[in-house]
Amino acid sequence: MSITQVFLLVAIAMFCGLFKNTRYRNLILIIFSLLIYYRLQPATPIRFLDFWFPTFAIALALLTWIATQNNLADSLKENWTVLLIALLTITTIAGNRYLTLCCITATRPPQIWGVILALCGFLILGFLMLSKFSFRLRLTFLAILFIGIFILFKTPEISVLLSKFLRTINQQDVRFSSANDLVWLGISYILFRMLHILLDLRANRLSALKLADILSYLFFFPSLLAGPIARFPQFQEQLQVVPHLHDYIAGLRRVFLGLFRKFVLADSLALLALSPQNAFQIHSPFYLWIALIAFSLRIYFDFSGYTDIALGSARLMGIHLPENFNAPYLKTNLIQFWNSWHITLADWFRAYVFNPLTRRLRATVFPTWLTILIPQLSTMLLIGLWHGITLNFFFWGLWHGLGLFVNNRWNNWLKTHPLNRALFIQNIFGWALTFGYVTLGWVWFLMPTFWDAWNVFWRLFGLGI
Amino acid sequence: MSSGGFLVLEYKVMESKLGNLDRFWLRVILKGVLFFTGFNIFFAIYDFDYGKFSVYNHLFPGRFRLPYSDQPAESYNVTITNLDAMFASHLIAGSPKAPNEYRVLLIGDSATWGYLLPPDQTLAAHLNQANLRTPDNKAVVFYNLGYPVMSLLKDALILDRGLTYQPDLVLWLVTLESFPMEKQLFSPLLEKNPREVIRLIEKLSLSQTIPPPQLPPTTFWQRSLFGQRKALADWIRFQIYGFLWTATGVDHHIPEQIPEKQVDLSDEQNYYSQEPPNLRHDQLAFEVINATIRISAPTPIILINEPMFISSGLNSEIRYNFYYPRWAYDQYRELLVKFCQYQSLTCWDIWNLISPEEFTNTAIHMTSQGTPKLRNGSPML
Repeated sequence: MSITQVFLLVAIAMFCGLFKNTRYRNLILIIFSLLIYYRLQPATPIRFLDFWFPTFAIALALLTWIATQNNLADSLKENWTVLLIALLTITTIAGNRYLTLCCITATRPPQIWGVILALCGFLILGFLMLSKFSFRLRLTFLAILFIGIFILFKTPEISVLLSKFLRTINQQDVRFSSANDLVWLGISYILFRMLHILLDLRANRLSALKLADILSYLFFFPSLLAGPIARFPQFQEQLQVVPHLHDYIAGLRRVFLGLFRKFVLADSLALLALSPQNAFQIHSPFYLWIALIAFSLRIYFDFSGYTDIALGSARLMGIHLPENFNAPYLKTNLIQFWNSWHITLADWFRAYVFNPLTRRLRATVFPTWLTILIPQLSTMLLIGLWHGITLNFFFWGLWHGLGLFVNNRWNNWLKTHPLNRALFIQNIFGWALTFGYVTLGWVWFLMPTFWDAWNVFWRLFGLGI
Repeated sequence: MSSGGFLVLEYKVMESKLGNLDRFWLRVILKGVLFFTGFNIFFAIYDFDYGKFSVYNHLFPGRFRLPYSDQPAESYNVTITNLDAMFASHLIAGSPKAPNEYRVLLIGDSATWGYLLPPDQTLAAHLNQANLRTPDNKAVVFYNLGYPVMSLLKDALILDRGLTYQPDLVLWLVTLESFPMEKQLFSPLLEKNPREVIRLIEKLSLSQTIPPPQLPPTTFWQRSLFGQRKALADWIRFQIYGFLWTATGVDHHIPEQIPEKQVDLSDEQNYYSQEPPNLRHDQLAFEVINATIRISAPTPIILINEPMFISSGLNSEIRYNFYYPRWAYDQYRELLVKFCQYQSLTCWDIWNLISPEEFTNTAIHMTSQGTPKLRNGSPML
C-alpha cells in the first residue's frame, strides 16, 4: 500500500466515523469495505481474476451467512437491505465494464451476465445446502470447503495447476502459468475469520448472525491486508461504538506511528535486509548476520506498521481492534515471544488447535513431555503452513515448535534449580538467545527453497557450501 | 478578545478535554511541526548542500564508479545527480594521492563506466590489474569516472571536478555519438545541474558554441526540505545501499539474459540533422574537447576513439551499426585525426580493435572478455 492509499483509507475511516447512527455507519462501512477490497486487489496475469477473487470471497461470505441460518425467510426479512447492498455493489462494479466511470478494479470487469449467473449459482448452492443438509453438516461442509480453498491457493504446485486450468478456460498461454498468477488479496485472513465463525457456531459459542455483521467483520477494510484477526463477538460489540474526540486523536497517532514504522523504518531496513537475491552475493558471515538482523527488524516494523495503520484507522470509527504485537523482540524467551508476535493468529491456533489437542492428549496415556511436544509442534507447523504450504514454511514452523518445547522443558527444569534466582543473567541471555533464535528462524521464512536456506545457515557460521 | 486570545482559549478548552497522554502527543506534534518548518526554512535559505556528507570512504569503502542505476533494488545503487554526492561516494574522494602514485582518470560514456560489467571487469579495473609502473617507478592507478550518457559536455563537467583530485593523465574515451551539438545538453545529469553547466560553459568560453541553459527560477518552496524530498530520498537510499555495496561488491545489475545488439540495420542514411555526403564539422562539439584540454593543462589528455561493433548484417554496407551510417563515421574519423594533429594531441583511434562478438547489447558495450582485449590493445601497454 502506498502512503496516498493509506491517507485515503484514513479519510474514509474518518468519514465513516462521522455517522453517529451505528446502523447507517455499518451500512456505509460495508459499502466502502467491499469497494476498497476490489480496489486493493492487484491485477493478475489471468484475465478478470482481479474481479473474480473479491467477488468469490463475498459470495463465500454470503454462503456462510445462508448456511448459518435456521429460518431463511425470517432472516431475509431482517437482512434484505444488506444483501441487496452486497449484490448491488458487485453488479455495479461489474457494470463499470460498460460505464468505465473510475478505476475500482485493476482491470476491466467481465461481462455482467456472467457475474449475475455466478451470483445466482452461489445463492442456489446456498439454498440447496440449507434445504438438504443439517446445520452441523452445513458448517462441516463449509469448513472443509474453506480449508480446501486455502490449500489450493497456498500450495505453489497446486496453484500452478489451477493457473493452467484458468488460463486454458480463458484461452491464455499456459506456458506462462505460475503460482504468482493467483494473488488473492487477504484471503488467508478472510478464510480464517470464516473458519472462526463456523467453529464457534459449531461449538455453540455464537448464535444467529446478521449479514451486516458478517460482511463488516470479514471485509473490514482497515484489517484486510495484514489483520489482525479479531474475534467475531468482540468485533460485533465494537460495531455499536461511536468515536469520540480521544478516539480521533488516538487513531491518528496510531496511524502516524504505523506510517513511520512502515515507510521510514521498514522501507529503509529493506535496503540492507537479507533477501533471496543478496543472500548469495554477500561474501562474509559478518555482513550476512547484519543483513539477517536487518531483515528480522524489517519484517517486524513492516508488519507492525501495517497493524498500527489498521488499528488507528479502526479507532477513527471508534472500533478497537485487538493488538497484534507487544514488543516481541524484547522478550526473554520464545514462549513470551509467541505471546507477543502476531498475537491474534497465535490466539486463533491456540483456541482451535493447541488447546483442544492438549486436552485430548492429556486424557490419554502419553507421557507428559509428549502431551506438550505434540500440540506445540502441530500448532507451530500449522502457523508455518498458514504462510504458505511449502517445505520452508514447514521447517520454520518446526523450528519454532521445537524451540517452544525446549523452552517449556527448560522452564520446568529451572523451577528446581538455583539459577532460577539469577533473573538478571536469565534476562540478558534469554533475550539474546530468543532474538538470535527467532532471527535465525527467518532464514527458513525468507529463502525460497530448502537448500537455499540450508546453505545460508552454514554460511552464517562461516561454513560455506 | 483578539483572534490570538481566542486561539489560546480554544487550545485550553481542547487541552482540558484531553488526557495526559494526549497532551503529551499534542506537544510532540506541535514540536514536530515547528522542527519541520524550521528545517524547511533552513534548507530554503541556506541552500544546504547535503551532498558533501557521505558514508562512503568513511563507514563504507568508496565506489569504483560514479553512481548510476536502472534497477536500484538489484544494483544496490541509485542514480543521483548531485555532483558533490556523486564524487563523495567515489573511491577517488577517499584516496589522497600518494607520492609514488601516478594518477590516471578515465572519462567517457557507458562503455567506460562499464555497463553490463561488474565493477572489477571495467576497463579501469583491468588496467589496474595490470599493475603498471611508470619509468620513475610510480604505481599507475586508474580511476573510472565514466558515466552512462553520451555527451562531451557531460565528460567535461565530470573532468572539471576530477581535476581537483590531481590527476597526472586523463584518458578520454569518445565516440561520434558524443559529438552532435544537439546532444550536448541532453542528459539528466546536466539538466539537474544547470548552475554547474552554466559555470562550466563560461569557464570553457563556449557560450557562442553551446548556448547555456536558462537557470530555472526556483521558488522558496522548491528549495525547502519538502521541495527537495525526491533528491534527498534518493541520496539517503544511496547512502543506505553502501552496506550492500560493501557486503556484496555489486553496484550494477547484470541480467541473466542480455538483449542482443542490433545486427540487421535500417537503411537510414542521415545522421541526426546531417545528410550525406558531408559531415559538418561545426555540428560536432570538437570545441568542447579543445576548451577542456585548455582548462586541464598542464594535465595531459589522451583522446581515444573507442571501439565499436561493426555489423555484417542487413544494410551493413550502409551502416556500421545501429548508431552510425558509414559515411558519417568515416568522415568523423578523418576529422578526429585532423583535430588531433592540429591540436598536437595524442589520439588513439582503436575503433575496430574489438571483434563483433565481444559486444553486448549495444554497439559500444563490451563483454568481460572484450574489455581486457581493449586493455591489451591499448598503445599505453
